[in-house]
Amino acid sequence: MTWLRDRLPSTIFFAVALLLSAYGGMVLLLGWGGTFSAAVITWACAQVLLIALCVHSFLDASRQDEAEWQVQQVAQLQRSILDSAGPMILATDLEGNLLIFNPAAERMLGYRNHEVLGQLNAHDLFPEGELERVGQLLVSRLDRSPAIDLESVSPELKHYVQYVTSFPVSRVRGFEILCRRKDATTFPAMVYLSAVRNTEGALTGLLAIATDLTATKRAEHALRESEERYRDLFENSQEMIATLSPRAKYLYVNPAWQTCFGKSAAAFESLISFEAAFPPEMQANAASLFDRALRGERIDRANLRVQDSNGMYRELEASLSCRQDRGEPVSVRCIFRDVTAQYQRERRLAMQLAVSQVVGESTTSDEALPAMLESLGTNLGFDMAGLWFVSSDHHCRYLAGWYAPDRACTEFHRDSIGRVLQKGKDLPGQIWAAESPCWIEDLQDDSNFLRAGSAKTDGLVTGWGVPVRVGNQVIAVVEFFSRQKQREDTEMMATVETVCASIGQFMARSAQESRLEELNRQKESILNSVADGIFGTDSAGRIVFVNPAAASMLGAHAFDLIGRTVHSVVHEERKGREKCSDQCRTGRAFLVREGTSGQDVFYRRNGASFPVEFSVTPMVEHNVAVGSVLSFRDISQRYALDRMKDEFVSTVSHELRTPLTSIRGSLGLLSTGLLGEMGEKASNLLRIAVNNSDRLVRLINDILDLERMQSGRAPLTYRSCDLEDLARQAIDAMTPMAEAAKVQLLLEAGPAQIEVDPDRLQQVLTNLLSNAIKFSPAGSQVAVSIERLLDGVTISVKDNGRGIPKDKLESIFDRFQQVDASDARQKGGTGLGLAICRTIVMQHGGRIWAERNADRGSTFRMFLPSVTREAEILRLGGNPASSMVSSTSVLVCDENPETRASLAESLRQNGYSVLEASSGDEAVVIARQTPVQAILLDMSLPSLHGWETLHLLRDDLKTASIPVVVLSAFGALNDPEVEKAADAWLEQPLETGSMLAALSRVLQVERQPSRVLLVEDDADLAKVILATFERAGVQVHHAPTQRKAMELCVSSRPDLLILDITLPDGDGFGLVDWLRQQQEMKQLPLVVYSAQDLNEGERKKLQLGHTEFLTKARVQPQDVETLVMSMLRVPQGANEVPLGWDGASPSL
Amino acid sequence: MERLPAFENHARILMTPRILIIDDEDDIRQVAAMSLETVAGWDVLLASSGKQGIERASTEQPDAILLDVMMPEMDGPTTLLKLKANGSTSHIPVLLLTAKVQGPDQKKFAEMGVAAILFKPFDPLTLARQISAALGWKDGG
Repeated sequence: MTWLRDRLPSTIFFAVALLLSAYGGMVLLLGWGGTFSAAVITWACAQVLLIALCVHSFLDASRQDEAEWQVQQVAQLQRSILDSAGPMILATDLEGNLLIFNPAAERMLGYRNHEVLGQLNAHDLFPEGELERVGQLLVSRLDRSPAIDLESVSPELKHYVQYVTSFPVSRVRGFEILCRRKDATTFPAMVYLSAVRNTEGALTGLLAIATDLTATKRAEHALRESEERYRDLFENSQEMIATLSPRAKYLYVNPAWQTCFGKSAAAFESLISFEAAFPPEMQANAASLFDRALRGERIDRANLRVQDSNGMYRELEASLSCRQDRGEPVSVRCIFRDVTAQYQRERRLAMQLAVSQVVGESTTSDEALPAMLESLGTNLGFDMAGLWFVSSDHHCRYLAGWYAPDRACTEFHRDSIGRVLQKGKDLPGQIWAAESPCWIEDLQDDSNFLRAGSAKTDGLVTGWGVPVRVGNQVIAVVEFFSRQKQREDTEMMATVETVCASIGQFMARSAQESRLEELNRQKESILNSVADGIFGTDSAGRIVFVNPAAASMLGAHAFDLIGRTVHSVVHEERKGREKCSDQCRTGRAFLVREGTSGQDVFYRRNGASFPVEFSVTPMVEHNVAVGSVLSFRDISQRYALDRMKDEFVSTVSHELRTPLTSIRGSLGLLSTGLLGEMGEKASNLLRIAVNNSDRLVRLINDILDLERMQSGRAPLTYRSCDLEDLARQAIDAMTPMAEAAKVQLLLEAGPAQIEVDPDRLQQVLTNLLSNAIKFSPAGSQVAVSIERLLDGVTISVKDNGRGIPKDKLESIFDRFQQVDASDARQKGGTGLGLAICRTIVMQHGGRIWAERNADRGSTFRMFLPSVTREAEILRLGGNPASSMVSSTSVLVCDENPETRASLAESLRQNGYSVLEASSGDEAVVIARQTPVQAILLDMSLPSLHGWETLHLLRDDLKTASIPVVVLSAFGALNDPEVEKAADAWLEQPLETGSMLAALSRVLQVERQPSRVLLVEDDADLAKVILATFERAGVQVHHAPTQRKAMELCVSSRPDLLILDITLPDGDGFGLVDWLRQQQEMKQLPLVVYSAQDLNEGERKKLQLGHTEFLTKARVQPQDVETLVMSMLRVPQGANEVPLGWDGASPSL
Repeated sequence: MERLPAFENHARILMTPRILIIDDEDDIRQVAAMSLETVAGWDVLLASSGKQGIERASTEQPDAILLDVMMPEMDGPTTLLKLKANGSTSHIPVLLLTAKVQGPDQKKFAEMGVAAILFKPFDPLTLARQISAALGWKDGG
C-alpha cells in the first residue's frame, strides 16, 4: 500500500493523463474523419509518448522509490550496523564534533547518544593528553606526511587526519588508546581509524571503530604471563632442557643447555646429532641413551660427564623421554641436571669417610697413612699417591707411598724414598712453599720436578698435590700421579685439600700420641727399673698401678694387687696377729692430705715380714685428691747394717773394755797404796794413768751411748715424771762433785709433770750439772730452774763460769767440740757429753741450746714439749726396729712329734721363735730356764696329764706368769680349774688361724708392761718389793704418801695397786674411798698389804676391783709378787679368783 | 732367784765372803781377785772357764759367783743356766760381769736368775762394795 501511497502523485498524474489522452483521442477520431492514419498515428504516438512518460515517471517514481527505499535500507542497515555492532563506532567531523555515537559506545563510554551528539567533542572521550600523545605516536610512525590541507582540522585531530590519509583506504590500521568514560574511569581501547570522505572524495571527518581491550588485554596478559612463565622456566632453568627430533636433531635448547655445552642455540641446530654435543669419550654413552629414549624407555638419572667451555668437568644427571603421537615418536625431551656440586660433595664425603674409616681402624700412623693414601688414590682414580712430611729441621721427607697394585710404580717410589727436599724443590717443596695445591700436567716439562726420570720409567705423566695443614702450618704434602695426561682439575684439588685436613689432624694427633707413648714408655721403664716399690692409688686408696719392684717385694703378682687397698695388701698377711689399729702408720698415711713418710713393717704374700721405709704423697688436682703414690723401700739391709754396726760397736767396745778393765783395775789397785809405797813422782804418774784410763772408759761409754741412741737402738721409754724430782735427783748425784769443787747447787723450781724418759733425762741433767760445776769457779753457784710453758717445760742450768764465746754456742753441741781444747781435757771431758744431751733432748722432740749470761757465765736451757698421746704412740710406733729384733718365743709342748713339728712350723712362719718340748716335764724345765713369752700346751699328753703340767707351771714362780694356750682333744673343756689356769683354750682339730689369734691375744695382754703402784711408807720394804718386781718386768711406782699415791694414780694410771693401810698423811681407807669415786679407778685390782689382819667390815670398806688381802708378817715379798703377777695376768675387770687362792687368807 | 733369808744375812757378816770368779781373761781374773782380796779382804776362788767354774762352785760352795759373759766354749749365760740347773750350785747368787751393756739383755739375764749385773771396767776400789750392795749384804766388807 505504501508503494501505492508513495506513488500516488504519479498515479494521479498518470490517470489524468490517461483520461485526457483518451478524450483527446476520441475527439480526434471523430473529427477527422478521413485521415485516420495521421491522426491516429499522432495520437498513438502521443499516447505512446504519454504512456512512455507515465511509465518513465512511474518508473522514475519507482526508481526513486526504489532509490529511496534503498537509501532507507542503507540507512536502516547503517543503523542496525551501528546498533548491533559490538565495537563502538564514532564519527566526528574535522572539528571533532561527534556525529555518530553507537549504542556500543554508549555502553562503553557511559554516555547516552543524545548527551554526546552535538555536545561533546572527541577529546572529551579521552583522558587528558591522551589524544595528543597517541596522535604524536601515530605520526611518528609515518614515513611521510601527506600533502593535505589541515587548515580546517582541529589541532587535536590533525595527527589523526594525517594518519588516516597516509595509507590507502583499504588498509585500516588500528592503534591503542585510552578512553575515558563518563565516570572518569579509563579503559584501553583498540581503535581502527578511517577517513570519512564526501562524494568528491574530500575528507570530512573521521570514523573510529573501537573495541574495549580490557578483557583482551587481560587475556593477553594472562597468556603472556603464562607464556612468560613457561618461557621463564625454560629459559631460566638450571636444568638443561632440550628437545630433539626423532632424527636426533636439536629442536630447542634452553639457555642453560647452551651455557653448559658452550654453544649457542644456532650452533646446536647445526649439529648433526644429539651426541655430537658431548666430548668424544661420552658420545657413545650419549648416543645409546638417546636410542633407548627413542625406543620409548624412560631414562632417569643417567650419569654423563661433559667438559664446559672453561675446561671444567661437569657431572650431569640425564633424564630422557619420548613424546609419542599414535605410537610414533614425535620428539625426544632431554632434561639434564648439573650435579657437579652434589657429586663433588658426595665424593668429598666419600673420601672423608674412607679416610676416617682408615683412621678409626688403624692404631699406628704406619698403618694409617698408606691406607689413607690408598683410599684417596682409588677414590680419585690415580695411579700413585705419596705423602711427604715436613720435619723439624725444615726439610721435606718421604713418609709413605701407595700405588695401584697391578700397576706398580716401584722405580718412582724408590726414587722418592731417599729424597730430602727443601722448600720450593720438586712438587712437594713447591706446594709447601706456596702453601697451596699445585698441578703439573706434564711432569717432563717441569724443570723443578726432580724425579722426572723415574716418573718417566714408570710412565707417570701428570702429577699434582695438596698441602696438609694443621692450624696455619703446613705439616705435610700429599701428591698424586697418573699415567694419563689430565688437565688441571681445581675442584678436585680443593676437595682433596679439604679431606687432607683430616689427615693433618690425624698426623698431628698421632705425633702427639707417639710422644705420649714415648713418655709412657720412659715412665714405665723408669718405674720398672727402680728398686723401690711404687704403688699408685686412686682416691679411694685402691691400687691402680704396681711397679715390678713392689710386686716382687710383696711376693705377689701385679694383677693380684690391683684393685685392693694398699693397707690390706701390706698388712693383710699378718695372719693371726692383731688387726692394725687405727694408729697403724700405713693405714693413716692414706687418710691425710699431706704427704707422710715413716717406717713400718710390710708383710709378704707368704706372711714373711720386712721392714720398710715408706713415703706417701697425695696427688691433688684442682684441690681434689685424685689418688696418691706410695713408694717404699726394704730397709732390712739397713737394719742388717745397723745391726752389724751395733754388733761391731758393741764388740769393739767390749774388746776395748776388756783390756781397759785390767788396766784400770791394776792402776786403781796400785794407787791405793796398799801394794806398796812409791815416790811422789811415781804417784803422780800413776794418778795421770788412772785419770786417763777413766777418761778412756767414759769415752767408750759415751761413744757407744751416742751410737745406740742415734741408731734408734736405745728407744725412749716415756713415763710421766715430775721434773722437779728428776732435777733433785740429779743434784743429789752431783753433790759430791760440787762439794769437791766448792760449788753450790741450787734448785729453783716447782713440780712439773711431763712425759719423759727419766733415765735419759737424768743423764742430761747430770751432764749439764757436771759441765757447770767443772767450769764454775770455787765459791760460785750453779742454779737449776724449771719453767712451765704452754706447750712444754724449759729447764735451765746456770753457771757463773768463764762463759762460752758467741761463735761457739752452736758448735759445742757437736761431737768432740770443746770450747777450749786445753781446758776440757784437763777437766776430763770426753767431748761427747753435749752431743749426747742434744740427741736425748731431740729424741724427746725438744730443743737444747746455750746462752751467754749478761753478767758472766753461761746458761744451758732445754725445752721439752708436752707430748700428746697420739704423738707418743706414733713415736713409739715409729721404731719398729726394736720390736722386730726381739721376736717372741713360744714353747710348744706336744707328745706327738708330727703335731709338734707342724705347730712349730706354723708359728715360725708367722715370725715366732719356737722351743719344743716333747713332754710336760721337759716343758716345765725349759719354761723355768729359758724365757718364753707363751706356752702352747697339748692337753692330750698321756704321760703327764695336761693340767698337771699346767699346775706345775703355775706353781713355779718363774713360770707362773707365762700365758698358756691349751690345746684340747676333747670338746669344750668344762673343767673350771683348767679354765682358770689356762689363758686360752683351743679345740682340736686345730685351726692355724684361731691358734695364732689366741696366741697373739695372750701375748698382747702379756706384752703390755703392767704398771703397779705401791703405796708404802716403809722405805726399806718398798725397796725390796720394787726390786722384786723389777725382775718380773713390771713397772712399779712407789708412793710413800697418800697424796703422792693419788697423784700417781691420776698421772700414771696403774693396772694394780699394792696398798699399805697405814700411811703418814692418811690411811688406805681414805685412799680407797677416793679411788672408788674415780671413774677409771673404781675397778682397780688391789692388794692390801697390811701389818695386821683385817676384819670383815674393814675388808668390805677396802673393796675396789679384784681385792686381795695380805698380812705383812705372814707373807714374803715374793709371794706378793706371785699374787700380783697372777692378778695382772687376768684382764682387768674380771673377777675370777686365781688358782690356789680362796681370797680369805693366803695359803702356800 | 733365791735370796738368803734375813738371819743368814746377819750370819754372813761374821764370816769372810768367799767369791768365785769365772773369767777366761787371766788379767781380769787377777785384777778382780786382787781388788777383792786387797781392798775388801775377801776370799777369792778362780776359774778360767765355765766348766771349771761349775766344778769349783759345786765343790767349794762359794758365797757368790762373779761370772764373765763373753767366754769361749761355754759362755756366761749357758754357765749360768747350768749353775741354776745344778742342785748343788743353784742357790749360789751369780753376778754377771760384762762389757756389753744392752737393756733387753739385762732383762733376759734377770729372768735367767742372775742376782746382779756389774759392768766392766769396774772400779777395783769399789768392786766389793758393789757386790755387797747387789746381794743385799749389809756392810759385807
